[in-house]
Amino acid sequence: MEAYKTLLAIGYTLLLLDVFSLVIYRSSATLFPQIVVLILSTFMIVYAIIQIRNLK
Amino acid sequence: MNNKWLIRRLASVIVAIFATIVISWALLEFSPYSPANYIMQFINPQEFAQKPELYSSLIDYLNTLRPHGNPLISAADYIWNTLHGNLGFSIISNVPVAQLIAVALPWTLFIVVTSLLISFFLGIRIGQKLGYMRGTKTDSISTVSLSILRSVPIYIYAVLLIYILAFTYHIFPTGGAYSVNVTPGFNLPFIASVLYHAFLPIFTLTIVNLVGWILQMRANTIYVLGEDFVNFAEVSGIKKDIIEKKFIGKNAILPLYTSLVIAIGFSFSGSVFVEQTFSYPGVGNLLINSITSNDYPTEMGVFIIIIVAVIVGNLIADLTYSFLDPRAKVGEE
Repeated sequence: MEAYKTLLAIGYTLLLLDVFSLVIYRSSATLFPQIVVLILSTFMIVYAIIQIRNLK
Repeated sequence: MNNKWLIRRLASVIVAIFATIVISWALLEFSPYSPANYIMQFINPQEFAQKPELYSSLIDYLNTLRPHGNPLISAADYIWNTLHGNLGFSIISNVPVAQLIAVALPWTLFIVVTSLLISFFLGIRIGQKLGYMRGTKTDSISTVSLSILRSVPIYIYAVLLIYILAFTYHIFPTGGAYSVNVTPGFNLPFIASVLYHAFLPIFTLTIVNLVGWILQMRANTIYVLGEDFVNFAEVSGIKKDIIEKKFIGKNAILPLYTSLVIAIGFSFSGSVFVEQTFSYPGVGNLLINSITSNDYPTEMGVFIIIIVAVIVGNLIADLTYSFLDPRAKVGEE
């Protein structure tokens, strides 16, 4: 289903941007938003993967 | 998934990334503005009356910041450096552009992702309820009010909220990402301060997105309610709760996932206004500052990082999808 593929793409894009910022710059000030985005984008990816698996 | 498809997909990604770099370089290289224009306005020639040679050498240096020389060589240099992960240095702050973006990116992602998810889940709930109430007085009043609210630009909400809640009643701070009195780290006072400072930016983005989701979900629910399979389920005696959740909700929500892409783009552009209004140190604020000071390496860096992330994110999603769902045997005739 295209809808879940879109959700998956959004999750990966956000995860990539977050990983980029984690790799380039790590400080105690930006750690909290970085972890929040990491959790939320992983949640999006896992949710989309579960939905795609259920479509089978 | 076959190899031919994979090679074609990878080639399209490489072409897209290359085109992104070339277009972003061309747009700014041929722009009539230069960082020199910005710096020169702060220079008073009278202050250099005693040392005219210092003034002329400064002007010569600033002129080197303007695009010069053979554009092809300049483009090749830029592309080569970018492909090696070197986005250059900010002309104004002399800090690596990648670092500037990496510092600002978590704050923007934090407010954009949080507001998007809150508005999405609230929007589908409220929209679904309004869909069931179609034709009632509540539905008519809500739809008209939401349509009016949707037409209000995001910066109006931002200005109103900061004026009322921050300047007039002092309930929320007027700017910044966290208080200077807390120690940055993974501790409760700092997290509370971050959430407190992010409340107004997140709230502003949530209001704008929420209105859109409610209206879309309402329209989708009304459309699905008229489908034959819903009537069949009702006639078959399936419980109302199950019909609403599994038959209507699940089908009405699907087109909204596709709209999420547009909403993310809208939130990123909206965050430029929101961050500027709330003095939030995100990418939007960085972009506005780099545009006003004609700091073109930073501008190009922001565009390239976001576009490349979208292109690569889509590629990984395609690969994962074709791996997960055997029906999607992409590339096979």
